[in-house]
Amino acid sequence: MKKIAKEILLPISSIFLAFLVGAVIIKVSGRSPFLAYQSLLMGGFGSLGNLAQTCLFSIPLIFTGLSVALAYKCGLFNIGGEGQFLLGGLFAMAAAIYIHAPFIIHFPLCLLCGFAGGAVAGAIPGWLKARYGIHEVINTIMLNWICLNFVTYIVNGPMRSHSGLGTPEPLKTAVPPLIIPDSLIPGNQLNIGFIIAIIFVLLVGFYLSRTVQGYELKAVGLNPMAAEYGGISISKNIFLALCLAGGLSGLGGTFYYLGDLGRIPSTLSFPGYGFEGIAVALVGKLDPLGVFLASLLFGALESGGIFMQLNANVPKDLVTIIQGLVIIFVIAPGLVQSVFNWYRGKKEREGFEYS
Amino acid sequence: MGSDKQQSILVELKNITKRFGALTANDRVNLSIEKGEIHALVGENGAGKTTLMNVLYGLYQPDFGKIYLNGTEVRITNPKTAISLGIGMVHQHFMLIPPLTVAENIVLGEEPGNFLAFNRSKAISEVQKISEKHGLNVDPTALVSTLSVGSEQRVEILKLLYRSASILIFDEPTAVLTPQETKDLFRIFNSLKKEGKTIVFISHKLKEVMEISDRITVMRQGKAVGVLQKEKTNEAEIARLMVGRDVLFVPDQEVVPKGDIVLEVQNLQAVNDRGLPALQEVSFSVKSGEILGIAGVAGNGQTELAEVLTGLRSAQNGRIFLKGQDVTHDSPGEKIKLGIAHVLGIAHVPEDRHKRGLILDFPVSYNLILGSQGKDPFSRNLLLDSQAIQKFAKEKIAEFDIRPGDENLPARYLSGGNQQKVVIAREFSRDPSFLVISQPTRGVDVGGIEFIHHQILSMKKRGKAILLISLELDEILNLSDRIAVLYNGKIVKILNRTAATEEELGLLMAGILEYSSPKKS
Ligand SMILES: Nc1ncnc2c1ncn2[C@@H]1O[C@H](COP(=O)(O)OP(=O)(O)OP(=O)(O)O)[C@@H](O)[C@H]1O
Ligand SMILES: [Mg+2]
Repeated sequence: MKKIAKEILLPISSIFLAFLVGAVIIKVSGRSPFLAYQSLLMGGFGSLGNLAQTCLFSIPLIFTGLSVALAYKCGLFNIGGEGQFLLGGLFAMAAAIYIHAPFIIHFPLCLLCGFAGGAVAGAIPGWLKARYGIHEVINTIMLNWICLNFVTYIVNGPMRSHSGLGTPEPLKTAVPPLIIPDSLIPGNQLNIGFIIAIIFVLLVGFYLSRTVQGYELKAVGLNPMAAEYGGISISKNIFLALCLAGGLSGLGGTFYYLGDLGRIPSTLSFPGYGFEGIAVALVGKLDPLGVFLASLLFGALESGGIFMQLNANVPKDLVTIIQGLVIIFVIAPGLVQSVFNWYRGKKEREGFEYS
Repeated sequence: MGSDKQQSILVELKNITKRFGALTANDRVNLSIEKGEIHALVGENGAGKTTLMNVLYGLYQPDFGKIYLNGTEVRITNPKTAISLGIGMVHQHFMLIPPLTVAENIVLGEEPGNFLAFNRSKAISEVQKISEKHGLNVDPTALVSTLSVGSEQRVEILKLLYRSASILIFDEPTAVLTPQETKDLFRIFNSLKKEGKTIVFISHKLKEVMEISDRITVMRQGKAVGVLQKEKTNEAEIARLMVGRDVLFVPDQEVVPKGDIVLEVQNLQAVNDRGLPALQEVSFSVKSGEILGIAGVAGNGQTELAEVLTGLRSAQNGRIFLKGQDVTHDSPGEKIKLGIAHVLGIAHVPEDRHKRGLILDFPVSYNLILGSQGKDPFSRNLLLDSQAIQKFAKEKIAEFDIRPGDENLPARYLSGGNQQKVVIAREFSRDPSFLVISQPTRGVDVGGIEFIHHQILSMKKRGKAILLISLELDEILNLSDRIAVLYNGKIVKILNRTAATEEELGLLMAGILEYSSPKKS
């Protein structure tokens, strides 16, 4: 119980510190931190509509965050989230445009294709690493560019729509349905992706902590030599981990392009969710539940930032700064811990003497 | 007299208490170290020796208690402070950077030269000077990656001397050394002592403690339970203080009727990690109810032999038969079958528990099922059965007296000896027909050694065939039925234990006695 409290206390105080430093920066730039944070909070959680927006923004982050966390458990640093996100989105979009089927078949099929697309983009570096030992950081980064250019080509070539904006819109039967009807919260776009993301948080958590496969994957990540000794194949797990990680990022892309955007645009650049997934995973301590909470935080910053810019005249870039500060404080727990220790140590040294 | 003593006391730890959660690793420990002495710190696994020294070195902050240096209180908040106070520590796991040279490693962080240019030749000459002064005998320009364990340790010592440490702490420095390297180390200890340096060293080998130290502090369950003068004590007394009862140094050897041949190795050949021949024409067999000891100086093919037999390294040539069945998986290029050992029912206690034996960040319970994670009681339908895993862990913790008895604690937080017990418990529970046991008691306390030896003998009594690989000649002599001497990758001779003398073994191990081709097994 005490341990859990400590696990939660530390990240929360890190986030708090990040905001504190952020406040100083706002102040220095001549604005009111109080007003800024008030509108940030309002924008993130202030109304049902804003809350729905926060959840919507968090969907792709949950998937890419899980992707990074899962790969990391196998000792792999998956920087390829961008490419996997794009390729997953492309596969899903293709299924969404070209396949005709009732929703109950069509929609799951699109998810499957999205997962598969991401998994392909994960499988290639996975295979290169497992078979030839080529470092996954290099592989995945390079594959990001390959995926970007490949998807750009497809979107502007074979899959180009008449409007020229990118791909056509997905068929109605492939669009992720809204969770809350528009009549209840007007204008909300929060789709079923959020619920599926939560299911995946639980699935990944279950996979890592309860299955034999999860045990083996973590064993390879923590000590490959000992894993090998225990009869666990290092290369098989590396390959598998990157396939699964890719698939998760691919699902992120699926919901983003089928849901939020409703197409893959013709002027394509890196969507950024793959990279942000790294941040989310780190802030979430590489734990599925942590990833979920961190995604919500980042989602809230995103939707709150827009609101803040409109209402408090604080540029949205501040949000990026705060994100950066959160990452720094969470990743350097020593920093926060030492503040704690200093404080506690001071009290103890003053208060206790052994006889 | 009293004041005289006061003056010679260099370091004094008073009432040091260090807790990890509910566990008190150091409980109001008092320790005083005199200037210029060699002070041994002994105690069972988990007694708190390493913790105490980490406190002195500034790695841990004590919950309570004070440290005095030359009579004044000091607060050592980190190793940097410790070093500035002249306190240095050599950990059991060295902290060197292999691709750098010896000199570069030594001066790292305190490089001579200005901030633009590193004065390499000055670094080399300074290191050379210190090295010669103490007869440390290391080449400053050699790459650390090419050094033996013993030399790496001397580099660590040089690192401390370069930073002008006057108090040198060694955590189980001899656990990884060959007898010859140990002798060299003690020679260095004495030379340092003559210089006026003070040495604290932790060891489980009481023979060494009696050989080198001036005073001995015994710890038990977190407390310092006695300080002994070397002249006025003996091994048995130290052991009794450590364990709280008498310890049998030589296990009872029972004669067990031998059965059929379980393992047969013919003409085995293998290479090491660098592709050089490590095993040549190795042939032997082990019967049920028999312990075959492999004696030899480190690096003569022991590691490779264990790995080939357990499928972690492929054989280039030769055959391995387990109960008559060919299990070689040989021919170069063909992929070895991973973990084949555990599939075939071979148990393997690896020589280095941190490298292969344990996943340090897994809890003890998970470590206890490594290799069986996909098997019957522990998993069903691809899912782990955590209840079965916990139950098994609790049983093994009780049976093997693994402390602290918390199956959910990551193995990293167990003391070295208790980590070893986890490996032993796991491997001995497989009900194997053949066991490869490498360095079973490395870093284990006397009580633990007695226990592990007892376990090995009881496996033998149950009709297991055992290959025991150890650098400790005593261990080989006390446990084996037959002894094979490995030199330069070849089995020089196989002798019956009753016929073997330490002298002959020593000569064989040094490669001085001639190689007699062991045609028969
Ligand atoms: N960081 C830690 N967290 C929790 N428990 C710890 C930690 N470090 C040590 N312990 C526990 O404290 C006790 C003392 O450990 P320590 O390593 O000091 O023993 P030791 O005397 O050096 O034993 P050994 O001879 O086996 O090395 C052990 O029970 C150990 O499990
Ligand atoms: Mg220790």
